Amino acid sequence: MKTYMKFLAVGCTALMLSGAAYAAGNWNEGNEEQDEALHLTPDHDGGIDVYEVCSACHQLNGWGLEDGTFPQLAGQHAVVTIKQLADIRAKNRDNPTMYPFALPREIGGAQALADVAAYIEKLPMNPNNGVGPGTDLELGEKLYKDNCVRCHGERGEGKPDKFYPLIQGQHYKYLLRQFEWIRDGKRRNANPDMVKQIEGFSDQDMVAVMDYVSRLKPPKEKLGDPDWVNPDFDW
Amino acid sequence: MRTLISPLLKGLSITALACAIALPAVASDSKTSEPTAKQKVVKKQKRKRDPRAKIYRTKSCMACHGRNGARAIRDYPNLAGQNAKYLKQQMLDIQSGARVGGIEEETGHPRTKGMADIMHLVDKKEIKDLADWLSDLPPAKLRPPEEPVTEEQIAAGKKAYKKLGCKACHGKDGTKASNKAYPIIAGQKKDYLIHQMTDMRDKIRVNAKSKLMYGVIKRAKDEQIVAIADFLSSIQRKAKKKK
Ligand code: HEC
Ligand code: HEC
Ligand code: HEC
Ligand code: HEC
Repeated sequence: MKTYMKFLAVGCTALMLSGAAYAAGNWNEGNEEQDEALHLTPDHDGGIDVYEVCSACHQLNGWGLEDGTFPQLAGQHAVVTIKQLADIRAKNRDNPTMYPFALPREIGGAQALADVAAYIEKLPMNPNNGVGPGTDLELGEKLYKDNCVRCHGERGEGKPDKFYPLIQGQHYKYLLRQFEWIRDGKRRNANPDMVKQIEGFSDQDMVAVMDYVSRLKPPKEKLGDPDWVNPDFDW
Repeated sequence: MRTLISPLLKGLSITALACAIALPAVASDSKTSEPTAKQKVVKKQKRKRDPRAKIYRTKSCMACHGRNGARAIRDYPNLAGQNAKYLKQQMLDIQSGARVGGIEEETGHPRTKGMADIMHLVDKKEIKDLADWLSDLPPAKLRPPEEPVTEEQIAAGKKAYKKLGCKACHGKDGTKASNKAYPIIAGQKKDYLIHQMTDMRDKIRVNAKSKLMYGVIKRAKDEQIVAIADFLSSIQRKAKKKK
């Protein structure tokens, strides 16, 4: 119940702040369903129901695949998940594999979004996510501190009140792909300020900073046991 | 002991069952000498499970093609009960890019794209296993069409199917292909059938043995294609007899 309340609080703050986000550019235009989902009270069993199909790709634990094909979802801020689903649906994020699973026809409307996003936020995170080559971590750290902290936080924890995603503990290969797409304009929902911030990044910078990010460990209480199996499903 | 608790367990939902057992079962994996009755139940369930089903479930196939290959979403194909040889070839071709589909309006990508993007997750051996497993599963149960189809329309489809000579390769009513490398097309989803016939007529689908279709399908008019799809998708296939 406590977590629900927290989610509710976050959702409401997000709603109030989304006005500010509009002004910053159109990366977060939102839509009715997203706004509705953001202030609904999520239901845990509903979350399990919706998550079942997601698990075929993002895996039962929500830990994704180390090769980066499917990102880890576990632990992500609910508001971010809701926004990403809305963006995929609105085709602001080109994702042909997942596209159908962002549609109300397959997963349900605003309530389903709220349910699954809250469910995902509470899943314990992968303690052994894929990391980079480890060759340029000093440069990575410097780049991160100078360019990313203000939005993604010291430890990559993100800022739910501003829809800034949590990026700590994410698979390196996935991070790299997203970063490249954001830099090169392929991800149309990217945040324009972030795009500006990383404009001059070379491929070497990119590898260094993502390697560093992939090694930012989530806090202990967010991490799962390496052998953890999601008990909500029987396979 | 097992007989004692099994009726009780039956009453519980599978989810609750998993909740109740999964954690302790995992925690004590290596240490315990005497598994408890509950763990035995889990073990038994695990043993029954086909490892090929696990590939299907964990490599994302299930999301799009549905439980046991029989509840595909949208206009995606059902796979259960299809000829193994055909399935295998199609997977290899979607993986290599040899098979593409027409453009899906909503995404602007060929219809094969979403699947092509994940096919690096399975190797040749897994593809073969998946094909064998899927072909042994009971074919999908018919679902009522979104819009009712008239008897006349089905008769028109049957007539066009006969007239164009589809029977030579797909059998009298699409339920039995004349060659194991050819697909069974009865009981498949209507929209998927329309896409494939159109894609082959327009030479968008050119992989594997598609050429064999060209001679007949080039004469098919749009309305015949729709009628044939209505006819084929109205046929309930029977499950293969267990060997
Ligand atoms: C058929 C496979 C598939 C299914 C099913 C699927 N996804 Fe995804 N999802 C993907 C892929 C692939 C990506 C990464 C796309 C990319 O690289 O941009 C992704 C990305 C995402 C992202 C963006 C993650 C981020 O960090 O920005 C979210 C959120 C997400 N999925 C949620 C879901 C939810 C919730 C469901 C179930 C309702 C679901 N997905 C079902 C394949 C799938
Ligand atoms: C002005 C704020 C801002 C700055 C600075 C910024 N980001 Fe972002 N970043 C965002 C926002 C907002 C998103 C999510 C955009 C969206 O909604 O799709 C994002 C998304 C991402 C993603 C994709 C996450 C996912 O799960 O898909 C990665 C990776 C990322 N940022 C890394 C970085 C790195 C590394 C830096 C520094 C070099 C950086 N960002 C700087 C705001 C920022
Ligand atoms: C993102 C959704 C998606 C995923 C994931 C996916 N498929 Fe597909 N698959 C499709 C679509 C759509 C088609 C039909 C393409 C077309 O219309 O041309 C297809 C076609 C096929 C075919 C050819 C069927 C026929 O009758 O010709 C086979 C076999 C197949 N898929 C097997 C698989 C297997 C096995 C997996 C998992 C390794 C998988 N698919 C994963 C969407 C998907
Ligand atoms: C000479 C043999 C032959 C004839 C005649 C023929 N087909 Fe085919 N058909 C095939 C083969 C072979 C394939 C599989 C192509 C491949 O290997 O990719 C196929 C594929 C199909 C498919 C796609 C199945 C799937 O699961 O994707 C449909 C639908 C189809 N045929 C319908 C028809 C119809 C309708 C006719 C009559 C107008 C017809 N075929 C006539 C050989 C034939």
